[in-house]
Amino acid sequence: MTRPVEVFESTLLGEQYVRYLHKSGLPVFVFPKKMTATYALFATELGAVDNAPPTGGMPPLPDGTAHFLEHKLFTNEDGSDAFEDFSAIGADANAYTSHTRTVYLFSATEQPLAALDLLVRFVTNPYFTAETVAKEQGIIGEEIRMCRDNPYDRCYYNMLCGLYERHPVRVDIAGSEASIARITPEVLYAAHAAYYRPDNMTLVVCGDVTPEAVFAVVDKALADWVLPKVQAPARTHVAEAPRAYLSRTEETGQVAKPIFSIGVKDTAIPAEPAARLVRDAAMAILNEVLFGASGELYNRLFDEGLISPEFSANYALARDFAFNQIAGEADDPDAVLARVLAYLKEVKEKGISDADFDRALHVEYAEYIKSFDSTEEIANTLLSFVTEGADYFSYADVLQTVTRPMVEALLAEVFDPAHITLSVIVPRKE
Amino acid sequence: MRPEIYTLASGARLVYIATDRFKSELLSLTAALPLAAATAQENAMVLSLARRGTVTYPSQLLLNRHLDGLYSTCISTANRRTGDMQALSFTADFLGARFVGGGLGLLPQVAAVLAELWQSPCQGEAGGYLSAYVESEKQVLLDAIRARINAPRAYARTGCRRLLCENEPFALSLIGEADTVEALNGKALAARHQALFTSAALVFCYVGATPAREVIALLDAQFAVSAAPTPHKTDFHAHMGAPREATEEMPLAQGKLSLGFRTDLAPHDALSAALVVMNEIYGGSPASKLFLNVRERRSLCYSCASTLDIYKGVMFADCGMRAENRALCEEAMLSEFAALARGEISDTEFSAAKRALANAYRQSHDSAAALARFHVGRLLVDKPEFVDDWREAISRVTKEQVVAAAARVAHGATFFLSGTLTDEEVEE
Repeated sequence: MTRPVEVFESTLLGEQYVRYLHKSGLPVFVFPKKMTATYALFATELGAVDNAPPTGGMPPLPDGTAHFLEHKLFTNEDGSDAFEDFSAIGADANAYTSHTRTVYLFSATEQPLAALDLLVRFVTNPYFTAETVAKEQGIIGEEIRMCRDNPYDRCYYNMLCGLYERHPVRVDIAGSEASIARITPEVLYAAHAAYYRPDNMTLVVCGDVTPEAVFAVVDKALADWVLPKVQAPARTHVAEAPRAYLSRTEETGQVAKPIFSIGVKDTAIPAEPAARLVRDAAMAILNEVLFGASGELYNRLFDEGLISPEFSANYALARDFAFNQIAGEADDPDAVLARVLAYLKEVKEKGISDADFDRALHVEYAEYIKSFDSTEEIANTLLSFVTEGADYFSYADVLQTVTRPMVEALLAEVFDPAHITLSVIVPRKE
Repeated sequence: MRPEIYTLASGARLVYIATDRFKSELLSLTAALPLAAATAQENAMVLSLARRGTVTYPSQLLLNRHLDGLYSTCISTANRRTGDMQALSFTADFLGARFVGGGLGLLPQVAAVLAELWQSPCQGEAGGYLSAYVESEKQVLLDAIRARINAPRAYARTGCRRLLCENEPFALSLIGEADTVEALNGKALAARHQALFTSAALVFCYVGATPAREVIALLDAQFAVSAAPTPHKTDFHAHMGAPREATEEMPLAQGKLSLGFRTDLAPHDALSAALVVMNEIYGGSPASKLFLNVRERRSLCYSCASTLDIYKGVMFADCGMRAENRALCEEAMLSEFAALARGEISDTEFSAAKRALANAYRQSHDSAAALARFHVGRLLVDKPEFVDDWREAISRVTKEQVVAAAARVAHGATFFLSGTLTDEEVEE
């Protein structure tokens, strides 16, 4: 049986992928790639920020529900663990939860179609009991404590709390020991029913498989899966002012030298997928120009001993929130922030040189091409693009549309000192 | 994709892996020498100073910009332990020739940069390193030594390794200790750099589509300095006597426990593949005894896993838990090992472990870096071996061999990093 598919091709890369819409409404993407491992992701757009009541009569979801659900779905009805099922066929399974998404995945070098069958079945067949939920509360409680001991995690979350006043992105993805204590089997079943639905999920497979073989597995495994008649819960949109909520946060932690995260809040997020993609590409180029290892700022700060070698800048753009995180280690993070602000002012006044712009563009282009060397990276990046409504292969063209004036305009717009917060973890006093 | 091993004019060796599977190529240089307290820190400094600048590109800024000009070629450095050796390496990851105009592509320029990094670092006054760079890197090193407390799980693991391999090179830090940093100076470091040319064994690795003769010609032209034979003298012995124990306190929410095991089985031993399967069954995957029994069934912790280093014959089982659960966790982890050693290995556990390992080793074909790491490591311990042959050896391991390997493994050290934060402090 030939199924209707949409084909996306890149002559530059010599690659292609196809999209198939399962009868339930689930979009399935297959990226055939002659590599040893096949990598598959089954994702739902339920993340830590989604706390709306899953049904009319229920209270909002406790913080950490998406992550808890991710853990608990691995328990089978007979008490066994889905990890064991994957291991039995030599596949390596895992899962993760982000602010906006939960992703179940496997990599397999043998029997990828059998592993795919397992993946779609276990994710769509929940089984929870009070006993197993209580057990998981202990395990996740330890995970929360482990993260509590990670100063880099603390610095990141404090930065988000400095940027956002009310948006749920400021809440820890795993929740707290108190919030997960409120999770019950009923909460999990309701969250699963509300968010693990075909029109809220995406399946991506990349590896040495044919699209038809993948579609046949999906059709068989999800033969009875239908779109619920009820609407999915409305997303919680929390409006935030462009200004950072707090200009500075500080906490003591287990660090030898202060670590910092400079957060830059971006609230002018386009709704159109094409415009979002351009903004994402332009910001990647801008970050490379401003904070890259070949940039003046990094080398000045490092040569003067103001920062340690590890210094990074990353832009996150998701649904209704976006921010830049500039992270590093310094004896005096406030002095680093002052230098960053002075440098931003300098570049705003002088403009970005053609040489710096071209260099950053080359870096982005090369990184994009290199990303096609790994089925894991392809699958993850493809998922990010398609859930944004964008074509993965269009990124090379998008990069060509980004101009120096466009990047300079972004610099002026986003890097306003009022949008910036500083999060610092300082060493404990002996 | 079976690697070929060549000896270059300098005496260095080349692991050559021909493939057009990747859009990027890899060229690495690894210099291995005995890990020793007198030289480890200086070696680490030599590696860091190379990235600060070379004769042609005398600053990090110029060097990085040159690499960006080579289509964002990335050169990373690593300072690793391979048994009782210190292995210093530079690895270049760069776009393949077909994306940059064909021919040899970027390879000649990348080889030239690697040669500069290794042979011609930026020099300062009187033949030593530039003092500004030395002082800056001393501070970076000091920060890195002090930053060990930033990662408590790794801190506990390090504490356990030091206990387990007390008075052996393997217990040494690869970046040395804080009290010797101040005395480092440009002249002594330049002398150490020169000494590396006669004391370090050099292994190159190339993964890409350029013919071997072209790669060899480029390396012969760029790397004139001779290389020493491989210093593959690692001491393997089983732990005798009671396990050593140590506890430290830190203001943490969770205690970190690290159990150290050791064996006299070396990579050349017939049971070494069985040892790898043994670790996998014990704590190498989510289908392991530690994960399924200590974490999932007993709900004692979130992370509980073991890792094996076959180049030294040591295995560490690590776990994070509330301080009050320390004894329960330790007892559970040791019980699981005892059960394994008694041969209590289900068919499911055994076959899952072997399949997981087969999957992992097959996957190394999808990563140029993983292929390079495996084959260079094997060459450094004088056991040249193709990853697929090793996978085959693992597939032939029997349950009896796993039990025989486990009989040669003994618990030798326990390190506990006790978290002292109260629940109220954690909530804050």
